[in-house]
Amino acid sequence: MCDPATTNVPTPQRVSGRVVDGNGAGVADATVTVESGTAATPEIAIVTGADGSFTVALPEGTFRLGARTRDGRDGKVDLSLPATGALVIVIRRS
Amino acid sequence: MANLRSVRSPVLSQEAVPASSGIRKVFPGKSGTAPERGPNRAVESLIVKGKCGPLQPRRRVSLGSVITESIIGVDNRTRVLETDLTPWRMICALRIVAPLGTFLGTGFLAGPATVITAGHCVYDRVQMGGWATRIEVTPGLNGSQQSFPMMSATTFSTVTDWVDSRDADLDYGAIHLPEAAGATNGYFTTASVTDSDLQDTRVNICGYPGDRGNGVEQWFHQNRVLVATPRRVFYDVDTAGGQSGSPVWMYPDGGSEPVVIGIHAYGIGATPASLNITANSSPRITDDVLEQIVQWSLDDASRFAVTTPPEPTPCVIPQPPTCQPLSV
Repeated sequence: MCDPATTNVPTPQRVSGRVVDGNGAGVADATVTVESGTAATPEIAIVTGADGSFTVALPEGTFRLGARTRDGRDGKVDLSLPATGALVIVIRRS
Repeated sequence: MANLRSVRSPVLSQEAVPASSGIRKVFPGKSGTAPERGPNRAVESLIVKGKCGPLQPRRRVSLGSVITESIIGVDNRTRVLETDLTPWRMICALRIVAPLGTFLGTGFLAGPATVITAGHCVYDRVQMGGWATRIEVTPGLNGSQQSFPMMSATTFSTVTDWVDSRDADLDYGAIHLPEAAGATNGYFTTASVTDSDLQDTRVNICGYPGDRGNGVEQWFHQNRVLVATPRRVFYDVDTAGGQSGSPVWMYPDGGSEPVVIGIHAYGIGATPASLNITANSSPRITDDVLEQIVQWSLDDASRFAVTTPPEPTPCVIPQPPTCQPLSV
């Protein structure tokens, strides 16, 4: 078998964001996940708050986040860390 | 040697669980008292057993320099609807309330009153702000259908290697239930198996992803173990965010008893480049991890008037017959 390959998950940076609809209104109770990335991220999902806000912890790297509303609409955003500026995921119209 | 010292919210520290060496051990599960209506079509059509040669064929997708995180190629997951039946009813949707927000995960019943999950579902200093404050646990949740009641848990455990070092190999924990749901639903057999048992073994993974159903639908996939290191199992099975804590199970003797050998926790990004594979992964249930799971389960069961099986003993799991190579 292979040599031991222990990985300590790198300490991430907290990034704040918001899921909004096409009119800019926050989308509550949407689910945000890391769909792709260049570094290790635990496979947990994040639920947005009443105003569509969320906080995701990511290590340095490039990522794509996906958001899904309760009625099945979705949106995506790409980001690179270290990050600057607000993160917004716009839900596509159904 | 890992020092698997359990830490518990809100009380810290238990004695370190001594690690044993290379002996195959099984902590038997138990069927629940809830009736099983038949037939179990999901089991008949979805689960895989035994060992095989070539992987199921995949079309791999690369988005420039960014590789899809944990859906490997085309999404091959299938929704499970019979979540009132075994083993699906032993898999739990988790809604995790923590200082820095609300999160979704998965866990599985491993004792009468114990759910095992990923460590980062009960404690994560950066993502959650520390310990979860409350986890809503719903076994066998199926969209708007709730065959079994939701339980609100406030006591959790993990190990110091996760808390202090964010060690992905030891990213596992427990939810201590306020009710003995495992007595009703049943609970999984968990086992520490050998490298030979895991080599080329077909594994099954089922949980509650956020990208399908927003954490209230059970989604399943299966494929083969690619690599098993001393403390982690790597496999070509599709998963997504929200499935952290999903049971990774096999059928070592080709029989009907599912045996959990890992606790799903990571997508492709956590697979070391030195392995030269594209795979998702789980902390492996080794002897010392199994002993910790057993201790949690026995402690929790003692709070209720339920019987538990004896502590694990060495046992021999017969080698399954070699199956026919998959057609490509």
